[in-house]
Amino acid sequence: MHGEGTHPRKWAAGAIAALAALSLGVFGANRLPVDRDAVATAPMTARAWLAEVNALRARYDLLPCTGAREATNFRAYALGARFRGLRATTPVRQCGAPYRAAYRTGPTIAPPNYLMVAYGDCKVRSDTGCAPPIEVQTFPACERNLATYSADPSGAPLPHRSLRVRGAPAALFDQGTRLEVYTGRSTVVIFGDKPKLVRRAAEAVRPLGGSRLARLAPAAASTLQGKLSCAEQGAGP
Amino acid sequence: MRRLAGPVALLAGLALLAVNGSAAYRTSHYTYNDGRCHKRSDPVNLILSGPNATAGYVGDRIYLVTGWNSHSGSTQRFLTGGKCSKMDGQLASGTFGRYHVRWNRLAGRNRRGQPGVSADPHHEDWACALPPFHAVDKGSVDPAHYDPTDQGSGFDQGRRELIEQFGGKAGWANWGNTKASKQCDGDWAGSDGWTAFVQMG
Repeated sequence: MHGEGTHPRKWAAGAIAALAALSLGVFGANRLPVDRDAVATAPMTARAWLAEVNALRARYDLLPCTGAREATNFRAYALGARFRGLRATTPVRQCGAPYRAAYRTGPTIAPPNYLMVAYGDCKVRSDTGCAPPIEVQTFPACERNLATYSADPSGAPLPHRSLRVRGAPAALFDQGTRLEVYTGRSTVVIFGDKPKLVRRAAEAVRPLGGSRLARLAPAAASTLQGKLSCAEQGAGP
Repeated sequence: MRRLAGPVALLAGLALLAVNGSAAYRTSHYTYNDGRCHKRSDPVNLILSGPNATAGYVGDRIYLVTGWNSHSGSTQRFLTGGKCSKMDGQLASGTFGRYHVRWNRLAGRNRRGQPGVSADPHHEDWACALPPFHAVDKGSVDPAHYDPTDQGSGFDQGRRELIEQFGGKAGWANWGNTKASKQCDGDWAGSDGWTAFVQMG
């Protein structure tokens, strides 16, 4: 039995070595992995779809969605290729057309427009899915900022604690398990189950594919007051 | 007595302010899948309020208005008023592709002094065979994975469906609870961050 298992084991070792070499190429130099399947299979029709979506988004003063092959039109942030031993996952991009919150009534909601990088993995053990130790979502500041929240329909403020992270205004929510950093024209949202890890992640935040800066650019005053329009923000960081 | 009237009125006024100021439900923005409410799972995206909005009453009303009669699904916990407790109930519309909601009574009262229940309605599919798990629909508006529906993720769809079943009227608040969860099919599903407040009779 041992003899029979040798070949598959060798194959497995070879495959693991090849994968490791590939990973080094992908994860090296602080680069993040690219979803090659998505890039390769993004159909032509996606362009037409984007044009339709973006025409709708413009009506609601939202930034245009960018395509699968394009960089985001706002500066995205992450924690590098690794954070405290946790490997970055393939970035997930979300963006789309506004939709009605309820069929007949309710506000028109802008779906989340973010680029997310998760750190570490988790195993789905039930219907509930699972969450990795850290998630970093970056939104354009004109679409998500402190002024966009409320605790209830009366507009009561959502409970939070204000602080600063490397020179940029920030806010802590949900018993410290969500920290938002308002920097430049981006809102960086860090989710984690452990408040200490979330704070450490905030200290490690850096532009996607870039290096860590000692200080983060503070948000524009109009952002924190909720007065930055996406037309004003425009494309770019 | 007259000399006391001023301070008493002032104190009463302050007390009233304090009561009104604290008139809010105290809830976390997620459900949890561990006993200590450390591992967040689904976003809370619906609050049901009313003079009789106990967990039992809300469960009966959900069953009556939707007809959902399946009790299958995993158990989750809710964190409300600092207490981590097992959910009060769950109902689903079927077995395979289905709407599913878990709910739990809330600590505190709303501005009308009414009790309430928090819930995590969502749409999910039986996406994985071994082991047989449901997966909440991912945010379907994702240019990297061309899928041009405009309904939002399974959480946004479930919320919309339940609001519709309750008459279509709701108040809205953006909590920003957009944390995504990895599903058994490898997709990521999260809410758009909005919570609906439905007033029940």
